[in-house]
Amino acid sequence: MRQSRGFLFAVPLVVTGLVITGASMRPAVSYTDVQAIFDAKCTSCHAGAEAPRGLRLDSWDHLVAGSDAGEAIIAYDADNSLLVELATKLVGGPHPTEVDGPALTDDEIALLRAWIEEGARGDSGQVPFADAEHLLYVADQGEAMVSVIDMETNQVARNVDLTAFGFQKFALPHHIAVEPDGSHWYVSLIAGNAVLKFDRNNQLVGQAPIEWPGLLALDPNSDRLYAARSMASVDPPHRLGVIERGDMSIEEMDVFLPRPHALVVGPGGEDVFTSSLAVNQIAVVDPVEQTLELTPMEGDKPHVFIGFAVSPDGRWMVGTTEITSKLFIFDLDRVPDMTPVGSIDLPTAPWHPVYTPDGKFVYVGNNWDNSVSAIDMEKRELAKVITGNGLAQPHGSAVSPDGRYVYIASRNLQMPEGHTKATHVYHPRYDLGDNAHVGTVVVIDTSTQEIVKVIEVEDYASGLGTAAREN
Amino acid sequence: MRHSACTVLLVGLALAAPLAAQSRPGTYKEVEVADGGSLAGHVTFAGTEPEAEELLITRDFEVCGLGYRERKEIDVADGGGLRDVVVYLTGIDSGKPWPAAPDGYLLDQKDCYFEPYIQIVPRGTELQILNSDPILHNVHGYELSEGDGPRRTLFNLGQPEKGVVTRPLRPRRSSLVGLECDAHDFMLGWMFAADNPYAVVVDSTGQFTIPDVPPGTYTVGAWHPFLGVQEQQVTITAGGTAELAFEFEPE
Repeated sequence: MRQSRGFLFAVPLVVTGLVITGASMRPAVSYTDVQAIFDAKCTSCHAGAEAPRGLRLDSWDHLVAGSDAGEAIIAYDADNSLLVELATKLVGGPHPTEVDGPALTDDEIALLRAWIEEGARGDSGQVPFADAEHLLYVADQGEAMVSVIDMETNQVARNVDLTAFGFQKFALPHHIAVEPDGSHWYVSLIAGNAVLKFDRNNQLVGQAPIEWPGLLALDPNSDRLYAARSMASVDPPHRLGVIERGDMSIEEMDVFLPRPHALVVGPGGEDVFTSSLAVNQIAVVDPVEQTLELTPMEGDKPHVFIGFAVSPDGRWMVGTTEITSKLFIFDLDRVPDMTPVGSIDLPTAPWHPVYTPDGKFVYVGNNWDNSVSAIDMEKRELAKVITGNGLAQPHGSAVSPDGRYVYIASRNLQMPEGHTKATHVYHPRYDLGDNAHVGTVVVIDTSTQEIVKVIEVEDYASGLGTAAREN
Repeated sequence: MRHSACTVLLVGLALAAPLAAQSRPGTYKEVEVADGGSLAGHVTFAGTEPEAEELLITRDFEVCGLGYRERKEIDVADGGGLRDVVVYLTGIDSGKPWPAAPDGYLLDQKDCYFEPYIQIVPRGTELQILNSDPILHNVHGYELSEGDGPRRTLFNLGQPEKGVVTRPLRPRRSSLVGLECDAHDFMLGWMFAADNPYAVVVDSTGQFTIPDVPPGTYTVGAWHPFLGVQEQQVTITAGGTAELAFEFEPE
């Protein structure tokens, strides 16, 4: 069973199923023992500046730095650590035997696994990425898992296996919200019918029951976290979940429209905006006064709003539509009048939009087009359609605090040959026999609007979450 | 004579398009066929049936189902018969009447499936498109392109509620039509826009019979959505039955 561990705990907790048993200060396997294996079997190649794939195994620091493509190990998760996977599952022969290197013995692999499961600690007990500053959380909907990416190195730092906390494999984690200070994060479980609260050490500290939760929106101005409903359900309650983050108590507020899906908190937290998957209506909710304004949208069929985003200055809101493939622009100075002030045609089925911190661009993955739209919000035009390896049914989006990188998650689900979405699938870097449809997080450099990295995560990467921006 | 099967759909369609572009819409004349013959045969698959695809159902669980939907792109019967193949005659301008269709031609969207999965519809028909589900379906019909060109949208219809609407089925260049639902990426279906009534979908064993064919020599096409098109020449004699076999090969 996979385990989920923290970033900061000096004393690791051993989680076995639901029982937290505690553990000793001293890991059973020291890094010195691991380095001895590397020295015997690996460093004849994986050392120095010419190391294959840029992966050096001549020190803990180099190992944690990973390869040119990404992390070599994920602390506390041996099953999904590439080093273990290549040594045990690589199709064509376990590495390095396929390049005529000496195979790792079962004992060596067991030792390596044990070391990773204990946190992949260095000789002084340090855990990889324990001091990571900015974290990106990825809902791996197909695996009941959340991947945590260090946004400085763009490597997977942790995997949080929700089944280790008693949730079903089919719990369907979908979207993530993070406290502005990074102290806690929240994940919606579509089929688990709950929103979970974790601390920064990835320990479950609370949960709120809610039927079919989907997108989350955190109000940094108050203690409230809002939850809309997943498109998994055809007729979920016509209400938003309003969660008090402190104690995870929840109330539900009627929004008088079916299938509320798109969701965002307006500037100052005064308004919450949601829209329906089924009818062309936008709701403006005042969560304090408990009032609601509904604005009908024109359209000869449902637009199917997927996501909303508010500009950093709080003036504008954009909404993406699945069926009509548009980015609608709303002037929040006109609230509660939600008649759009403009729209931009986009490639098919734009999903979760995100503003850059300077407010000049919106990025959104186009779910049916396997591409990303970069939209110039000053000119109000589609500036570039970004395509490339790693984009396969793009879904969630996020941006780094400095605006340098945009992150787009891709589901990479199996599609029938001949289907529109099958024009591009992501083929993982290594064939491990069971990883044909790994999810991805594509990293886009906003200065060039090019893909600079493809991070492999677990199956069906959907919503992304980073520390909420103060507004 | 056997033609190699196309393994990639779009390549197959590229080859198929000129073959499927038959007489212009509306030029077919219904006449009495007193001395007709028949064409009968079997479509087979030369390999082992590939494993079914497993497509994850991503929304509307209560209607579409939960978990994975099994899909057979290549569906092989016992004995090797290949299902989901349209067999059709080309270059025939007059002959037997179109089959009676008192209720018209219907494409249903039920339980998040296109029903039927593959069907023949006369080109130009006002197709009835039914949503039997209490959720939004957005049927998107594509005329499958010639060469490497893009597919062309024939209709793009959002149906947020149960009900029926009609749209003409008028592909310009090809007879081959693909169906997707823009709200459910696990839905897929096919139609063949026929220019004459000498077109059939093979039965569940891969067998087909086309009766009442005026004597003459014809090109016969066989289209499988994932394996492409084959063609053969056949001569039909008065009162006779010409036997024809198509064999598709794996990728």
